[in-house]
This record gives sequence, C-alpha cells and structure tokens, in this order.
Amino acid sequence: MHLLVVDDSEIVLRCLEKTLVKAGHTVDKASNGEEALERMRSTDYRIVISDWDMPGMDGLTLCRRVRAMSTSYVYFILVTSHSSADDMVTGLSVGADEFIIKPFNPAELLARVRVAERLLAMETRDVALFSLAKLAESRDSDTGLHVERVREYAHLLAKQMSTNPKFGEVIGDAFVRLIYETSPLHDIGKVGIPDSVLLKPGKLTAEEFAIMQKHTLIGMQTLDAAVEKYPEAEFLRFARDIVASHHERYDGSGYPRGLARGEIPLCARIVALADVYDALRSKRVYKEAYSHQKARQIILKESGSHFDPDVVDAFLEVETQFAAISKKLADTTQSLADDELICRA
Amino acid sequence: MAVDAPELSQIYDVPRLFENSMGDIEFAEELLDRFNSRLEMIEQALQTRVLEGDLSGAASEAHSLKGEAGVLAARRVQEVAEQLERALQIPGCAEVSGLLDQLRAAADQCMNANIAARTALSQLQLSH
Repeated sequence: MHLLVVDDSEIVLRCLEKTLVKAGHTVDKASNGEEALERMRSTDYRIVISDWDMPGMDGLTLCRRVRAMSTSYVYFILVTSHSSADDMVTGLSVGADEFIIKPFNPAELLARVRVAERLLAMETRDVALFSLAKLAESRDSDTGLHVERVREYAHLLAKQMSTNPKFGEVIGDAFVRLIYETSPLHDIGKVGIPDSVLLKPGKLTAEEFAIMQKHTLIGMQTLDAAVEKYPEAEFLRFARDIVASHHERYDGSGYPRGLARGEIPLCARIVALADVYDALRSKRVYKEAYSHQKARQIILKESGSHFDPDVVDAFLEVETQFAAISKKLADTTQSLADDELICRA
Repeated sequence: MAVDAPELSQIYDVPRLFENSMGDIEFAEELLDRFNSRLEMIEQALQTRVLEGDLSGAASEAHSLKGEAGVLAARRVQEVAEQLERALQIPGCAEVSGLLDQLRAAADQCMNANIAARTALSQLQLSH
C-alpha cells in the first residue's frame, strides 16, 4: 500500500515512516498540509496519515481539502494528542476515518492501517463487481440466472470441499466467500465476443468456437489490468484465476493455456464443474435440458479428464442440493450461453 | 547541598522507547540522536518566540516537542512541554518563565542521559 504521512516534526515523520516501511508499505512524507496536497495531485494515495496540529494548513483543513479533491476514496487517519470526545467529533465531522492518539504505538498504527486496507479493498471490490457484472449482463438478458446458479453451485462445492482435510488449509471462510462473490464473473470476457458468435442461435462452427474461446483471455486481460491498479485487492486475483482458467481441463486438454491438474487454480476447477453442470441442465436450441441423472453421469465420466476428481467427489456429496438449486433457479427462457461439452461434441 | 542526579527511569521510559522503535536498537539510537539535536535548538527557539511575543508560535513549538518527547518516551520533557504549551495559551501567564527553566533542566538531563539510555536499550535487547 502506498501511503502519505504528514507531520511537521521530522522525528515523528521518521518514526511513522520506519514503522510503515518495516511492515512492507511504500511511504511518502510531507511536512505540512500544502506539501501533502501537492503530492496528492501527482500520486494516487489511498491512505493518508496526518498530524492534526501543524503550522500553516492543519490536519483538519487538509482532511477537508482531500475530501473535496479526491475522486477515489482516501482513508484519512489523524494522529493527534487531542483525545477528548469533542475533538473526535470535530475530526470525524471534517471526514477523518480514524484517530491515533500520540504518542502512537507502532503495533496500533499498523493495526489501524490494516483496517483501512480491508475497508478500501471492500469498497474497490463492491464497485468492481457491480460494474463488471452489469457489463456482462448487458450482452445477454438470459445470463442472469446462469450466473446466479453457477455462483450457488460453486459456493456449495467450496463449502463441501472445505470439510475435506486435504483442502483444509486452502479453503477457508475467505475462499468460500470469494468464490461466491467472484464466480458470477467467470464469463466476463464475453463482452468482447462479437454478437454474430455470442448470440448465434445454433451450434458454433470450429472457427466461431475459436473466437468464443477468446473470452477467457479477454476477461483475464481485463482483470489483469485491474490487479495491476489495485494489487492489494485479493478478490481481483481470485476473479482473474476463475475467468482465465474455468475452461481448462484437468487432463491439460482445455483452453486457453492447456493447464493440467494442480496448475489450474482450485477456484477455477470448482467453477468449471459448476459451469458445465449448469450448461448440461439448461435447454439449448440444439438440445433439451438434461436431467440431473444424465448430467451426473456425464460429470462422473469426465472425472479425471475434464474435472478434478476431488471436485467431483464433493459434487457427489451435495448433488441433491445441486438438483434443488437447478429447480429453484430454473430459466424461464432459452439460454444462449456456450456449452463447452456440447461445442466439443 | 548537592542535588542527586535523577534516575534514568525518571528521564526516559526505556522499555517504552524500545517498543516505540520496534526493538530496533539502531533506530532507537537514531531517534535519540535526532532528539538531542532537537533539544539543543528548541530552547533557543522557544526563548526567541517568547521574547518576540509570538506566544502562539511558542505554544506550537512546545506542542511539537511534547509529541516528539512522547515518541522518545522522554517523560520529564514531555510533561514540562505539555505544561508550557498550556501556559503559553494563557495571555500573561506568569508560569512561562519558570517552565522554560524547567524545560532547560529536563533537556539537559536527557542529553546527559544519552549514554545511559543507549546502554539500557542494549541490555533490553539482550534480554529479549
């Protein structure tokens, strides 16, 4: 995280800098409010830690100015010896997010910065998820229920796999939450696929299928750019892995990179099964919706070739719930979503 | 009658300084060096501002010193700086002159305790 610290005291500045740099942050310093604003015009800081009492522009004025000028949210921490309730109300009223009472304790400072990072990551995530989901939705009015079902299936699989000791250290609460939040984005790259291919009411030719396959790369490139901009946002990396690899196959014969087994991110292996199950259960112009039993049969047959056997095992544990989700969130209209298994047939 | 020199613990809260510098002795020593330089200048700066009638500026200096003394866990300097900051905010406060003297004495104690503070920090590091 790139932070700006502001204090008129060289000693306090140095102490703030040392504490934050030691914890892996990048820190710029300013010795007054004017200098801080100047730095903020050229650098995109997400967290500002400022003294309250400074000659010239004080911390409160700086906070007001930051709120007025920033287009993205800046988490503002006031470091101060003003600790009365009235002081806190004054600080919060001008837009400060947090107070640290002087003399500050390094552990407390770092804890406050971690809180800031978490809140900023949530804000970034909410905005990004909403924007991306809306973008994907805009191309095909029928995809809404597909992404909802895939999200439910993927969530169910992750929760089931979290009970498997083999995945205990990998699949925790955060993983389960992230797969729920990001799996709807798995086909985000389809926004870059021409209508003539994406909305074609029939089986794709080999050439068209090659174009369709590019949606994984388009989505990956989009999210890579977002990851570069917000490297602290774990959910973006998670979403990128799903988007890029949910059409990989366990035996290495998938696309876009031909990854195999453990090379394929676990979240993508989970979404792969969820996505295909939904495609099998959905009606297409060239096929009727398969029954749960038929879909189950195909998935079992593909265990170890298309699907990770551990994911298939988890599927078998929760298949009744899969069938229930399919029924509860059934499409009322015909979906034109792609179906890898059928395209390959 | 000679006045006994104060104990180090009355001048610096060394365990607190150790904590504030994250157990990094080199950094703690850097802070001590910076603080000593600051103490050498602050007395003159305060005197000048008071003589010029810039009590607000003097209060601001005392406020900064209070914060810095807090980082260094320099107890006595922090305490006197806080009293001085308050006194400077009261027009015509008679205590200012006496507090400036007390600050000078506290600053001298800090500078004289420099070696003892470094030794205590090293001992603390060994015991961790």
